[in-house]
Amino acid sequence: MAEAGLGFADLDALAVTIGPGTFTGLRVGLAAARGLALARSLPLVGVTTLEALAEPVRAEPGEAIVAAFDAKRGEIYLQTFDANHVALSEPMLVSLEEALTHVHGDAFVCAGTGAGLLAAALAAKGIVARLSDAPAQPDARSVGRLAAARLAAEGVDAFRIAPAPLYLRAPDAKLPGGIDPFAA
Amino acid sequence: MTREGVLTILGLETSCDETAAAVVRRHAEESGGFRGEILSNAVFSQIREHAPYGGVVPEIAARAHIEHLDGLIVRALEEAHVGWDDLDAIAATAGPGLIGGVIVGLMTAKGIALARGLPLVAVNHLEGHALTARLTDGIAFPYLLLLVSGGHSQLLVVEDVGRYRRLGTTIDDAVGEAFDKVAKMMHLGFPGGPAVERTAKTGDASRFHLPRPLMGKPGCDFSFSGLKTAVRQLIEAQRIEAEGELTDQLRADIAASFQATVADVLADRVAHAMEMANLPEGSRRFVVAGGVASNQTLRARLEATAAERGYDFIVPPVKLCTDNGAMIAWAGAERFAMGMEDGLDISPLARWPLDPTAQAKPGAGVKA
Repeated sequence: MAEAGLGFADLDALAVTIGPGTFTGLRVGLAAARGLALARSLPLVGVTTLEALAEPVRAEPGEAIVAAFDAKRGEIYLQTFDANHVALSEPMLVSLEEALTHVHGDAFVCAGTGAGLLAAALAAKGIVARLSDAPAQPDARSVGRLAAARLAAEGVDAFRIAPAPLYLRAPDAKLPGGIDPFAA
Repeated sequence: MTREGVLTILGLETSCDETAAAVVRRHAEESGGFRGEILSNAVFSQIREHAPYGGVVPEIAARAHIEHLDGLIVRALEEAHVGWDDLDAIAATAGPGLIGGVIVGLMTAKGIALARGLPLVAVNHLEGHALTARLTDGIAFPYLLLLVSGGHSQLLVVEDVGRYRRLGTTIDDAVGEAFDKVAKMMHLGFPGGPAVERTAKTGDASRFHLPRPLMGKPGCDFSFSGLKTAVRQLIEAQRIEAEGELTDQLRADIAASFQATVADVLADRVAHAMEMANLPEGSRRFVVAGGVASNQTLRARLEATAAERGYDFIVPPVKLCTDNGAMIAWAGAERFAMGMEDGLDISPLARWPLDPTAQAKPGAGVKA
């Protein structure tokens, strides 16, 4: 704010990443943003970390963009976009093998902390995937640009209700008797 | 620097399984005294979320806090008929507690403080409990405090805001934890405190003699782990004898015997603490705070102990003994009135003892 020479009264809206990512990390940002939005009555735009990751990626014509975060435990958070950043899938939590079934097309550019894992898995199947030189973590500028586009398209009133976290992974809790309450 | 006049403070509490926001006023009086006033006290209890697990699940708690907190803040301000510009500061629990929840409350408070240019006061959750009696009853320092909850069992002399002398603490489990575990063993429901108390009503407290750990020993530390084990063994023995589940009467007798044992232990430890505290006449005030203070049997027993030893007995109302935002707002008001506030770089703390000079009890971990 100081670098931009702006005060809170100059802002039209706020934007924040809602996940997926580490549970605590996404709550740190979201709680602060919800507090700011509440105290200034500002609309708050929630952007997924995967959208933010894909935003600076420049795809060649015909390439699909794959945003992938290493979710540990052999899983990745994944979302795919076309070369114009239009989402081809919802954000999802999948194993590496499952990830391959969600990646359709001939050429890919992968971004994020899970990009290397995914590119290697694709290569093992004989599919060539290029690694993006975009940052492996979401950038606040990408979050801002995505939010600005969404606000322009949908209007501020579409963002009056604070966004909820996007966890994609259930809490690690077992019921008495070892039953997993979140099992499908 | 001290601040005079009227202070209006918003307080946020998110350290365990209650999401809470409240607005409290501290009036400094011309006589040099003070008066507390609760303008609103909004609490969302997560009992239903945690009940299936028989205990609080930290990740489920953190998720519920972030979902509910801003709605509760709006409600607290509306009920208090207070706007952002009427506030003098914002206070939030910064620990000790379940760190995921503490982060939600503290970060929300930081966001609000930054956006409104309000001072931030980071409050120790235990100080919230410790100072509640000043909000409700206006008592002066010093006083003896028994802090008993699901996470803590401590005896302290409250000397001033931010100044505590710990006399004793649990060396293993907290008393509320023992209630929760006994309730779980007999499938009485969650939270265990009210469930055991309800079940004990029709029970015979003299039927089973249970061990009373540390009773009569010097000092005023607590230990509840052995008692918990003894209750488990008693239940197992009774199940074998009954060749199946316990009858309602057996459950009631076990619950009543357990509760009476805890009452004996607490009364003994409190009596020792009164000797150790050595408070001058005129300052002999004994305050019980924390969720366990809502248990009527324990309360009656502690009241009798206080009366025997010439102590005034003060227990805040039940809804201010369990976790709430008013106590955090009040502790924030007391600190702010003394000129204390915190920077936006303050970090949440999972462990934060009231008396940092007191020896850590390895068996109790963050509870001591």
